[in-house]
Amino acid sequence: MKLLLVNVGRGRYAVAADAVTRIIDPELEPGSPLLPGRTGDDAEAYPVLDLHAASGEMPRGSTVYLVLEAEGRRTAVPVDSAEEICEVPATAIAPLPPFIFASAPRLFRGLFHDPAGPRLLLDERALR
Amino acid sequence: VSGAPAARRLAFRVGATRAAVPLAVVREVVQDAAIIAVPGSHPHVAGVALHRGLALPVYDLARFPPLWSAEAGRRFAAGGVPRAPLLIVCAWGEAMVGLLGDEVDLLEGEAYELDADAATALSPVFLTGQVKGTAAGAADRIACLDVQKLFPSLGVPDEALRPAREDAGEDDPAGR
Repeated sequence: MKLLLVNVGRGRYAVAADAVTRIIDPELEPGSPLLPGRTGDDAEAYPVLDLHAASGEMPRGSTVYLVLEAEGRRTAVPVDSAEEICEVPATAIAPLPPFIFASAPRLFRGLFHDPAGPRLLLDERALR
Repeated sequence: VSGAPAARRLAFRVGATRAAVPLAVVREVVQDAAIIAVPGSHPHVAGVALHRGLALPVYDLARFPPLWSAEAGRRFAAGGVPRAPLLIVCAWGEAMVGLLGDEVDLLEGEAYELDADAATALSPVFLTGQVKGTAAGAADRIACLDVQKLFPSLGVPDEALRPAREDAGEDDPAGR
C-alpha cells in the first residue's frame, strides 16, 4: 500500500496516501478555507488531530496540515514535515495489540520498519 | 513462601531495584531494540517494537504505579529512571510482552529461596501485591514478580490474540 511518511516531533508516522486529500502549507495558502481555525462563510469545520499534544510534546517549528478523508469525514493533522510516498507491502505492517491503548479510539493501525527505524501507521478511520 | 522449591528466574534491574520473572515465561532478551512510543497508550506502555513480525508491546515497570510505593513513584515521576537497554520478551497466554530492564542475570539452583515475609523488606520500593517473594542475589535482594498478577494488571489479557497475517480480521492494518 502507498503510504505518506510524516514526522511530528520525535514521532515517526505514516498515513495511507489515498486518504490524504490535500496538503496545506499555511504560509503558501494563508487563505485556504480548509485551514483549521479559519472562520467565514467559506470555512470548513472539521476536527484536528494534534499528535504533538497526544505524545506529550510541545509544538515546534512550521506546520503543514494534512487533510485526511475517510468514510466521508475530514480530519486535519498538523505535521512537522512530509517526507515521501513509498510503497509498503501489507504483509510488512504488524497490527498493534489493542490492549495497549488507554482509551478509544485507537489512533494507529499498525507498525512497520523503514530503513531509519519503526513507524506507526495512522488509522484515518479513527480520526473523528 | 519460605521453603518452596527453587525455580529458575531471570533477574533484571528496574530503575534502582532488582526484580525477577520466572524463566519459563521468558522467550529471549533483545539488546537495543527499536522501540517507538504510541500516543494514546497507557502511561506504563513504553511503546511497541517490531519483533519477529509482531508488534510487541513494551512495558516500563518503572512507570507502573501499582508496583511501587508512593515514594518511589514520586522519584520515578521526577525522571530518576535510567533508560533500560534490554528488552525481555515474555510469553503470556497467546500474547508476547516486552519488559524493559538492565543487568540481566540468571538465578537458578538453590542459592536462593522465596520468602514472602522478606518482600516487605523491599519497601518502600516495591509494594507487595505484585511480588511473590524475594530471592538473594549476588549483592542484594531481588523481588520475584508474580506474573500471574502483574501481566493482567498491566492490561495484557489472558487470552490475548496473537495477530496473524492470514486471519487478522478487523485488526489487519492493511484493511485486507
